[in-house]
Order: sequence, then C-alpha cells, then structure tokens
Amino acid sequence: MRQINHHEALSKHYQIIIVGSGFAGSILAKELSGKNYSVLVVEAGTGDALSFGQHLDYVDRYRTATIKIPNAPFPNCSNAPQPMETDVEPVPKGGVSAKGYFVQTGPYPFASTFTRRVGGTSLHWFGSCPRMVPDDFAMRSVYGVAVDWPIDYDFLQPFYEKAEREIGVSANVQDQQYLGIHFSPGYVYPMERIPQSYLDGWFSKGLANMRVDELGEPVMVRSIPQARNSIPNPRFDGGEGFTPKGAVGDPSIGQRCMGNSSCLPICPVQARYNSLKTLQHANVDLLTKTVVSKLDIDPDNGRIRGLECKVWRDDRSADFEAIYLKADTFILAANAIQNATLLLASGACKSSGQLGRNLMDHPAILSWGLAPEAIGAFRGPGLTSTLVNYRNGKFRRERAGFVLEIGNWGWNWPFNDPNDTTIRMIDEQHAFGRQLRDSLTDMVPRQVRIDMMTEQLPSDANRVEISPDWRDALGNFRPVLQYNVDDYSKQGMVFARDFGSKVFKHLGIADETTFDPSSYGYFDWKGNGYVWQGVGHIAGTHRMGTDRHNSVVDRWQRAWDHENLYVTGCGSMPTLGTSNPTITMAALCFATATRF
Amino acid sequence: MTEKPDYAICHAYTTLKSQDDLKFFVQLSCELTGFNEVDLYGTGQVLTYYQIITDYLDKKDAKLATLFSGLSSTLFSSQNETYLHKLINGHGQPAKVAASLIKLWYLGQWYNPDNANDTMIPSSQSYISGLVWTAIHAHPQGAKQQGFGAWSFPPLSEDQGQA
Ligand SMILES: Cc1cc2nc3c(=O)[nH]c(=O)nc-3n(C[C@H](O)[C@H](O)[C@H](O)COP(=O)(O)OP(=O)(O)OC[C@H]3O[C@@H](n4cnc5c(N)ncnc54)[C@H](O)[C@@H]3O)c2cc1C
Repeated sequence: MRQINHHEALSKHYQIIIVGSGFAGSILAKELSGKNYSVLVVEAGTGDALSFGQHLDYVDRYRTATIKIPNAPFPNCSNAPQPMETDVEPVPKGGVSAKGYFVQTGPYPFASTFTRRVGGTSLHWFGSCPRMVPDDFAMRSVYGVAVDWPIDYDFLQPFYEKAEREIGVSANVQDQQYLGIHFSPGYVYPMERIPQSYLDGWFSKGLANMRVDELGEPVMVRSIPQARNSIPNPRFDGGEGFTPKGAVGDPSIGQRCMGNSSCLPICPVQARYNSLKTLQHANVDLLTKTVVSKLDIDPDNGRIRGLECKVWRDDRSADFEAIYLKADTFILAANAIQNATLLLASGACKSSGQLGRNLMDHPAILSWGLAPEAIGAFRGPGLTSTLVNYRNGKFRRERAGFVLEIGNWGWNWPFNDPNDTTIRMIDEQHAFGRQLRDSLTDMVPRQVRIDMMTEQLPSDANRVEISPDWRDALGNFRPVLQYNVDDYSKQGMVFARDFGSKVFKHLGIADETTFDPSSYGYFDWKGNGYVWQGVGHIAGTHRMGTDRHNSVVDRWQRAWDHENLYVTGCGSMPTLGTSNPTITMAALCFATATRF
Repeated sequence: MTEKPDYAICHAYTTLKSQDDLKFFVQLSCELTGFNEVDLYGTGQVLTYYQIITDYLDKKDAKLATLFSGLSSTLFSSQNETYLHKLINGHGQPAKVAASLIKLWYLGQWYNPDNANDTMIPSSQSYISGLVWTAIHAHPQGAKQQGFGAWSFPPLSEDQGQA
C-alpha cells in the first residue's frame, strides 16, 4: 500500500476505485490488487495507514477521554464528520434532533455510530465474529416474515472460511456447530478459541440444570468466535498452520490477546483485528482526506463515468479542491449509511425504490445485577461467550430471536463504570478511606451485565434520506434518518428481558436493572417500561435480491442499475439475524472478488 | 473546560509551598483513600495532584492545611476517621474538596469541586494510576495487561487482596 496525494492519483489510470478503507474496502483492495488490477482506495477521513505512533496517540486519547465512548480515541472531523454516541437523544415529536452528524427525524433516534478515518469502523469494533444460522437466510420461506436472501448458507460457506482467515478468527468448530451452523469436513478456525472468562464458567456451571422454557432444551453457553489473536491452530489449512497478524507498524506485539480489557474502543496491542492489517499488504494506492460527493452516471447506459470528490487539507478550514477521478469499475465500501447517502446524492440505483430503506441494527436490552460472590469483572476481552438458544426457533414467526451476551466488564455498559459506582459511593454515601476501598472491593468484582441483542426485521419506513437543507461543512449531504423499532423486536426484547431475569434468579444474581423513561430507547409494553440500546450493526440500506425490482444489488453486490458499480458492506444484507454482521459481510466481499 | 496544563512536565516543584505542605497533602490523601504513602508515591502522581489541588485552592485564597486543620499527624487513627467523617458529611468547602481529591486519586480524573461538568484526566499515567483498579482487583482497562488467558482464572479472593 502506498499513500499518495491527489496530483499523483489524477495522473494515473486505475482499473478499479474503491471508496472507503474499512473492512469491505480493505478486503477488496487486497483481493483485487492480488489479481493484478490497478486499484485506488479513496478515503474521506484522515490518518496514516501504517503508523504505529498514530495508534499510540489513539490509545492516549482513549485513556485521557473523560467519557469513554467507542469513538473516544478517534477525533471527529468536520470535513468527514462521524456520528457520536454522545449526540444520541430522544427525537422531539414532529421535530428533528440534529446536534450530531445524523439528522434524526424519529420516532426513535438511530443510535449506532461509525468512524470516518483510515481504517473506518474497524478501528473501534468489538471483534465478535459468529456466523449466521442457515435459517437466517430464509426468513420468508421458513418463518413467513421479512424476505429471503438470494443466497443461502452453503453458498457463503467457503467465503466464510476466507473471511475467517483474513480477519484472523479464534474459535473451535465443535463449539460452533449449533442451530444448523455447519463447516466443511476437517475445517478448523485459524486459531484456537479465546479462553472463556471465569464468569463464563460460572454461568455454565450455574445454568447446567436450567431448561429453556418453550424449547425444553438445556441452555447452550458457547464460546463466541472472536477476531483477536489466540494460539494458532497447527491443523489450520490442511496442516499449514496460521501466523497471527500483529500490530500494524510493530508486528512484534499483538501476537496474542494479552487481556487489556479494552477491545472496544481500542486494543492497545492490536491483538484485535483492524482493517489496516489487510490494507498494508494490498498492492494499492491510498488517497486520504478525499470525500466522494457524487457518482457521475452516463445517462445513456447507466455506467459510472467517474467520481466527483472533494480533497480537503485541514480540519480547521472547509476549503477543498474539487477533483474528478476516473476508472473502469467502482466499488463503494463507505458503510451502509454512507453508501446510501452517496447513491442518493448521485440519483443512482433507483429501479427498486429500495435504496436507503430497510435500515437495521440489533436493538439490545440489558439486565445488570450483583452476583453473590466475586466473579472477576473487568478482566479480559469484553465478551467471550454467549447463550445461543434463542438465536433460532419457531417463535421467530411471532417475535424476534436474540443472543444473550455475557459481558466481562461489569457495569461498564450501560454505565461508565467503575467510575460511576465510585462517584456514587463518594457523593451519595460519603464514603472515604478504608471503607470506600473495601466497598469497591466488595461490590465491583461482583458486577454482572448481560445484554440480549435482538433481531430487527427490514422495514420500508426505516430509512436514510437526503435533503438540500442538511449538509456538512464541505457541502456534502448529511444522512437524514427515519427509524423505528417495531413490535416484532419489542416483543422479542420483552421476552428476552424476562428470560434474563430468570437466568439471574437461577444464578442468585440480585437484579439491579432499572429502565429510565427519559432514555432515547424507552418503550412501554403492557404497562411495563423497557429501554433498548443500539449496538453499531448498521445494515440493510442497499439490500441484495433476485432482481432489479426487489433489490439494489445482486448476490455479488453488483448494482442492478449500473453494470460497473458494486455497492458493498452490511447494507447488502436483506436481514440481520442475531449475529454481529461483519464476518458475514466480509464473506460477501470475498464472493464479490470472485467476479473479477 | 479548564485548560489542561502540561502535567507531563510537572511544575509542582516550582509551586511547592514547603515540604510540610506536601507532607500534609500526602497524609490527607492517605486518610481519604485508605491507601498508604508507598501506594500513593508509587503512582507517580503525588506532585501532579498536589499541583492541581494547590492551583484550585490558590484561586480561592484557601489552604489545604486550614481546611483540614483538625487532622492529627497520626496516620489512620480513629480520631482522624471521626474528624473526617464529620467534615465529609457536612456541606462546607472541605467536603467538596475532599470529594474531588478522593475522585482524583481513585479515578485519575479531576472534577472541579464547584462544577462537576468541568473535568479532565491530566495524563494517560494518571488514568492508569487510578486506585480504583487496585481496589477492584482488576487492572486499568487499556493498560497493565494481565496476560493471555488470565481472565479465565478465579478472581483474587478478598483476603488475598488486602494490602
Ligand atoms: C461500537 C461498535 C462495535 C461493533 N462491534 C462489532 C462486532 O463485534 N462484530 C461485528 O461483526 N461488527 C461490529 N460492529 C460493526 C462493524 O464495525 C461494521 O459492520 C463494519 O465496520 C462495516 O464495515 P465497512 O467496511 O462497511 O464500513 P466502515 O468500517 O465504517 O468503513 C467505511 C469507510 O468509508 C469511509 N467513507 C465514508 N464515506 C465516504 C465518502 N463519501 N468518501 C470516501 N470515503 C468514505 C469512512 O471514512 C470509513 O473509513 C461494531 C460497530 C460499532 C459501532
């Protein structure tokens, strides 16, 4: 990878231009340059793709940030703005909330964010990499809701394997064979599973005799596949083994997860994957601080002729130079919301009427409480196991499935703990000295938090739009979002919360959960209040399908309306199931690469 | 937001009123945190925090030794505990200053006693040195890594953890 300036980019002819340097962009950059295509990656944000020093600056920003939100290490920039968790607020009825980058028109705010910098959201993602279950690809045929994918699990199977290799996933196949998830004969993940936390073991033991109500089966607490480095599996790749990828700029570190307990927002040793690990080995040019504003479409044949871009220099000024970049083929990899915004701004992909629609996330409902004994909160990766029974089942005809995540960091979510608890003890209980110290020792290691990450179905009404009234500093369109959480998901969450309470009871955990009516995600269900929260899984805005009338892209993520345009990322996913979407999206990108 | 001075290069020596002042600050900090002098000096933050509190009090023409003048020089005595208990449960200036000082030591984060929204973390090191991590038998998130797989072992039991 070579980072170049726009003069050089303009002087060359590229066969392929990729927009965005996150997961999708980096994987395609590596794959396609590997097939000897000349590739330029255009990135809106700033950053030095190979600098370890810059990474250390990010770590420093995280440590000194007074609110440790996912984007804390990565400064916002007005020329390539990004949404921030701290800007999410209830949307006033009939009004908008526009204090952040998103223009939220409600009824709920869309609560998930991304990063606009070299490396994209891979800089701060968590790293959970479960595959989807086979039924997730056929929700219409199997459960009569939502839509089917144009592909099935078996189509994606070999591409999952490629994605797991590239991203470096640690898991054991035998843990993952459930609810129909299957593997090719003899397959092993690149690295052994990440050791499960003491808390996971405590859960498994405590729940050993618990049956899952309507399913009548024992609970399944399974290690979750993770994109963090573990012990390489010598049997990988037919006995070839696997070499973990260490930190970009200093590969000697990050060869193993060392238990820094800050995977999100930043792993200080980069044992958790980020897309720069892929991009650094791609034989491509990278142009940063260049925001693609519009696709230039040939009115005769729908082909994309070029990209209108704005090159900015300095975040303190909105000055830019307008440039026009040409190539034979274009690949958008700017993430679900930015892909849709850019296509809308270009008047592209109109045939299906689906562009920008079906915006999805995984609304999550939380339960937190205190275990009867110390379970070792705040140690290790944030999530090492999930309870998976409710990822699939007949109940999905009526209500959403969910996955129950067992958090290893106490009440760090939904609070800013251990800070908030400490402050409460000092300010409210006037604790000090040995008593304060002992109270913390007694309480915080007992903190437990679970969250039930719930499926959201695609809906016409949940959508990204643009409006000439809302633009950013460079004059580019800001995403205008309409978002709701429907009864299918709410019912799923109400059930999930109830199930979570049973789990707590079974384990002797004192439930301390409260749902604050002033929270952005508050809802009432049969007289009881609940709160959902966003988890960052932005999907669905340019879904794939079987023809140009029901979808924006085909199974290879090629735009139906523009033969030399691919639109890649989680936006292509017709439904989201209950799995963190990136590994599936990465698999889709490997499928795309086979078309070249 | 208060502008963040460059605490990395600590100016405390130049603002240091006297060794007695510093000694008083450390003793008060021990009483307020439940950690001993070695623990506190071990964080490397004594001078930085001394400077922060002195800067704040200077603006109010106040002195730590005056605000907490009832403190006797015997460390961790029940007399000191009773005295501080009374002060901290009151509503005066000493209660507010004490609360901010405890937070500074435990979290490595300064909260202006007059306005909790005015807050800052002086440096990476002060975040890392927060006493809360020792108290909860963990390690600062994003630093002092415990090693591959450490999280799968049982946590420290209470008596093992006592200093
Ligand atoms: C807090 C959080 C935790 C998450 N944890 C997980 C997890 O554990 N597992 C999981 O599977 N997923 C997780 N995700 C989701 C995951 O981060 C996304 O699915 C993934 O980043 C999408 O990849 P992408 O390449 O499509 O987009 P991104 O990674 O967002 O990259 C897009 C890139 O495009 C650039 N760009 C945008 N607009 C333009 C433009 N107009 N011109 C030029 N460049 C542009 C951006 O600057 C950015 O660099 C998490 C997300 C969040 C927010």
